[in-house]
Amino acid sequence: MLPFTELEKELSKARTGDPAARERILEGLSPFVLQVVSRLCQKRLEWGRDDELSIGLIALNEAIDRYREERQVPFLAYARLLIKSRLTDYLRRQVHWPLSLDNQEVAASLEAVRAQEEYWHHEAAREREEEIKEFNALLGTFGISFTELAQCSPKHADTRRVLLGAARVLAGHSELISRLFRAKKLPVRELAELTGVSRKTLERGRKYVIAVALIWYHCEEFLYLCNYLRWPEAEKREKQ
Amino acid sequence: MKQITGLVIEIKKKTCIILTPQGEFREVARPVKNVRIGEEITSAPVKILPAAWWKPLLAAACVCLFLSASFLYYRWSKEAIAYVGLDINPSVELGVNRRQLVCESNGLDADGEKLLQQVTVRGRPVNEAVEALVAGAVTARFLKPGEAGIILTTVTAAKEEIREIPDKQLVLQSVEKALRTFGVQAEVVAEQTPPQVRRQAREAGLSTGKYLLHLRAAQKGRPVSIEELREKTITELEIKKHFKTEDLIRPLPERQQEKKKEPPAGKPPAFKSGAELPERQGDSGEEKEEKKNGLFTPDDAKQGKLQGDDQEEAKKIDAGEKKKPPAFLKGNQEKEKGPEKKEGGKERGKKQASG
Repeated sequence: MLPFTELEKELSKARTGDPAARERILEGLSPFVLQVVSRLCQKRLEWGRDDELSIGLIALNEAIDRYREERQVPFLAYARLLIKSRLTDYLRRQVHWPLSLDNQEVAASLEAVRAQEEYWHHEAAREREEEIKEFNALLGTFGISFTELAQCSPKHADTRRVLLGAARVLAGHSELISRLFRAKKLPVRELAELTGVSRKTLERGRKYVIAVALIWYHCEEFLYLCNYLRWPEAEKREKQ
Repeated sequence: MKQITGLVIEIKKKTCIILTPQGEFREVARPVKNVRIGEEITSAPVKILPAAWWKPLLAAACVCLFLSASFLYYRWSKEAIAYVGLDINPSVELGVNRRQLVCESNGLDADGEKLLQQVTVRGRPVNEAVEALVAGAVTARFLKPGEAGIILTTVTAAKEEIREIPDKQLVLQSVEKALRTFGVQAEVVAEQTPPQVRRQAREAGLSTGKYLLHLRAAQKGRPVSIEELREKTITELEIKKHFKTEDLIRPLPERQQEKKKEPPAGKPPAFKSGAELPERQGDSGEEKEEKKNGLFTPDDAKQGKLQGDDQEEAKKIDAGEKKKPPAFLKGNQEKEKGPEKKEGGKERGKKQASG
């Protein structure tokens, strides 16, 4: 999956008429399309065989053109929404597919899609809320609450930066991540070795690191959250 | 306070938890209007109490409690539960604590203070302190060997409720021991008094012993005024007003019947319950001997009962009811007659012995 800043660059290129950039986006995001569409249809799909995927891709293309950049709605979220709405549109025309409540809502608001920007606000807000609730549930399985996070969140910018970095590393490390999921505990020692952060710091910010790592790891599920955070790398690049 | 911006991730009663773009999870004051999860808001951060914030407080409270308990105990054990007054020529008063040690000392006149400056009494067992004081008095020429004198000692409870106070016999013996060492011939009178008497004595500016003498003298119709007692020593007053302290100070017995009890074997215990006093009846032989040495006679038996009497008198004085000499005379005339007959004999006998 493309890192965000890359995506943004490509997006602006594609919108200003760069076909190569557009291609790159479509290709790069095809797994994303697969995931969204599969989830919606609740069955396994294959490129080339299933029409649904083509529909999804077309919708993605449309999203590139229609996207109005606002902080509140990351491109991927917008794209996802659009893919969903186009797809339900299509599926309704196929008689034998039962619509779930969620999709009914999306279908009903098809008309509003074209016109109102407010619709996007509502939708985005709803999706954000859903996302956060899911995140809360996930944290619950690790025995972490938002209140606890508020208590152990590092106050100093430096410590925060360090821990955010460590969380990123953890999220990228498949073995440690699976350990985290299995044991529901942070592998402090290994992470300290890997990142060079002191064990004490990691211990103190234990819950914080886990929470942030989860956001990063499930970046597509937690689109809004992940997008909202200013990751240290991104900040560095912006300064450059 | 500076406000911060973030996505609302949890809504509580008065606060929300937000996630800032910098990656901070913070708790902020809940905005007045309706907030939804996922909304971006700007608000002032709220101070978060760390988990189990009360633990350090609890620890501190325990320490304080312990310290104050220790302090109070210290004060309690150092508290004077009884006062031993010594009137030689100088008048002093020692405060005694529960461990029979001297914890306070007051000089009730200029000489008394001088004496206390010369003799260390604080922290010493009361009998030692008394001995040392008498010895000091001799050294300072307040008492002169070969000269007749009278030493009046009192033992008073600090408060009415206190039961265990030093035995006046102990005080008596300590004084006598010191006197013997220096070969001073002086009479010693030891009396036990209730707290009110001491209180009134202080108000009058007298030592407990002198005030007691004043009270009892008035009871017997031989008034000695407070001013006289203030200015002169007891010895001087004895000569001037022709009385024997022993006689005057002995309380009037209330009843004919006396309690019959055997004295405890061996030395009397250092501390005794104020209510019980050994009464020696068949000691007339010893009495006479002791009288020669100026010892107080064992009629203190009656004193035990008459504690109540004194207290009542003292209470009445407190209440300002009575005018002293005449009332006493009238009230006690009958009492005086009866036992006086018995006592009269003894009195005469004593006068002869010491005369």
